[in-house]
Amino acid sequence: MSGGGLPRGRITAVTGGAGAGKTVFSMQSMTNFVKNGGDAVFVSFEQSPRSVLEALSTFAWDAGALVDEGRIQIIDARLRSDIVLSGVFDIGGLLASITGAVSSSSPACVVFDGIDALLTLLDQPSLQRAELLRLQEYAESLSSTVIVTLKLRPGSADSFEDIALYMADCVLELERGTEEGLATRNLRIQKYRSSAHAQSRVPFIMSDHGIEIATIAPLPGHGDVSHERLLTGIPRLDAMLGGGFFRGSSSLFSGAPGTAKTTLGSMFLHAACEAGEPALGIFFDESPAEIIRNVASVGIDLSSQVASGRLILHGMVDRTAGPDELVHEIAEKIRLHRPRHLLIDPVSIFTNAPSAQNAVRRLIQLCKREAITVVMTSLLDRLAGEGEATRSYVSTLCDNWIHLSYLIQAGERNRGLTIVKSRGTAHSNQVAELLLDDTGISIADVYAEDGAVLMGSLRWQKERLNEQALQKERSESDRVEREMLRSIEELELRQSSMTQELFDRRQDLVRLREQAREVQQIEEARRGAMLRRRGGETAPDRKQGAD
Amino acid sequence: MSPSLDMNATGARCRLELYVAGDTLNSRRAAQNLKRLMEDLIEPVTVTTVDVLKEPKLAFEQGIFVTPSLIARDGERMSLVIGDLSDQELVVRSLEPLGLIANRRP
Repeated sequence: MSGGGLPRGRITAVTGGAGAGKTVFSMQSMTNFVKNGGDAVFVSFEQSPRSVLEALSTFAWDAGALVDEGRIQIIDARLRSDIVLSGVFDIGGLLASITGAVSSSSPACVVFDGIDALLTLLDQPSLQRAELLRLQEYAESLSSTVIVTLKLRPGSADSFEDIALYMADCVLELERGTEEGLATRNLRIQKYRSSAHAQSRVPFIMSDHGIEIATIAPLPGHGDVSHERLLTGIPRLDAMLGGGFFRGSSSLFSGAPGTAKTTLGSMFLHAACEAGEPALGIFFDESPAEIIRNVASVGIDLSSQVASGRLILHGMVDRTAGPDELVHEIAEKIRLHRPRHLLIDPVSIFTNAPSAQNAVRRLIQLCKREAITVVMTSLLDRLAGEGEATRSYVSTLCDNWIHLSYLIQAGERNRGLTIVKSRGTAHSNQVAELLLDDTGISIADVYAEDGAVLMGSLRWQKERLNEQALQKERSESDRVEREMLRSIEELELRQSSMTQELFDRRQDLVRLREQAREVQQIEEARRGAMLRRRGGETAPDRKQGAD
Repeated sequence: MSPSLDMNATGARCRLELYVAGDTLNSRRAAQNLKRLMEDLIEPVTVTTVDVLKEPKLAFEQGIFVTPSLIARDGERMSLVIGDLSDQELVVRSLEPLGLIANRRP
């Protein structure tokens, strides 16, 4: 960040108010110098050597061993309380003492911690300036890095600070502030002669590794963009998402209290563990034990996943820290457990602070780099009016945004789920109803009717109505069919009976004709017999007979 | 710097040690001021002058971080005055607990 490190043979001034982290910064730099070979001297003007040693040992730098080896020397340069100041003085003695103290002729790093305590005893700026010049010459002659820490008293026009900052070749400004009751720390390189350096104020946090600067890694994520879809554990939701979340994507579940954000998030963890991949859950609102109990009531069994070691739940209920610190702790957990899936419930606990944006961005970047699929929940305080607006930047940063809401209809509240956005995915635009029961989460179809969406008992009613209508239709058609069949049967019967009748008539007809012929034959035979008896002609007889 | 300042008064109860850093303006002023002061003291003292640039180890052992510094010793008791001793009144007062009484100048 400083373009290579601190200047050799020059003075670096570290300024800041009380508790800004000046001493820690100088200790950390010093330890680093020593680890790279070379010795260091720590001149303390405010703390006893013992408390300096304790402070050094607090951090995970193994500095205690370096002190034992004599690579770091701590010089107690506190002024005795009974000291009498008479006239002007210089720090020649100090520099000589350091020379007398260290075994090596040129320590790589000399720290003057709180030198202002001594130099402000000089009441003339010109004398102060002279001593700082002396310090500078000293630094140059030893070609060692000199770090001077100075307290900044806000509001006071202290000429000493001005001089010191003017003389130093590199000035780092540490700042500690509070933002909505949470501590934030910032570091800024105020000046750095002949070196390109980052200009902006960057947040840092104090951890057991000392100061850790939280910056967005300048290099883009080297992780390949994955096309792999991960199932959410809810088949319908997967379908609505066009197959599930992408691996390495970030998702936001937003919603009012009680809209099942945590449950949905737990489902996500559970599904990941079921797939055999390690997952990490960070909870700010409830302890892991509470989470396990609560989601068990909707049929999500996290306890066995925890027992198998695949799932790690980390409760951070008791934390009150700035976003930088929280994100750092989460990042530490990620490094420790190496999960493939991460749930942060809720992320909104620290996104209220204005400085959180970069912190969240860093977290998402980290997850992207590590190909961790992350789900964050975000609480919306206002039920109505706000609509789906969440902390706008979080929703912008995330790849997927699922909004959970209540729909109040016909005297009941139902949970609704909308996919607001899902990058790179053809996703459903429908509001779906989220159902929780002891078998888990499921998603039900909703009925859109006249522009309104029906849920809950209204949906149930609608379903019933449809069912009934269907049944009615079915029975109606059955009836019609039956009637048809019956009439066909009837007609067939009639047809067969008529065929029989036709046949009978024909038979009758044949019989009738035969009878008629027989009658005629008998008649002819009788007339023939009469004619023969009378001796007359046949034909005229018949004419006559007809008249 | 005037090495002539060093003196070994026999049987002196108190010992004064003046630490200076090289032959600078501050060092000279301190030496001069100390000399004037000693003229006023009513009992003899031993005075040693140490140049911390030549004897840095000694300076470190004595915890001298500011030059000039004057250490006055009477057995276990000691007092430390830093600066060029230009404020004689203050120096005299700091020596009084050790029993070193100076004649006040008019």
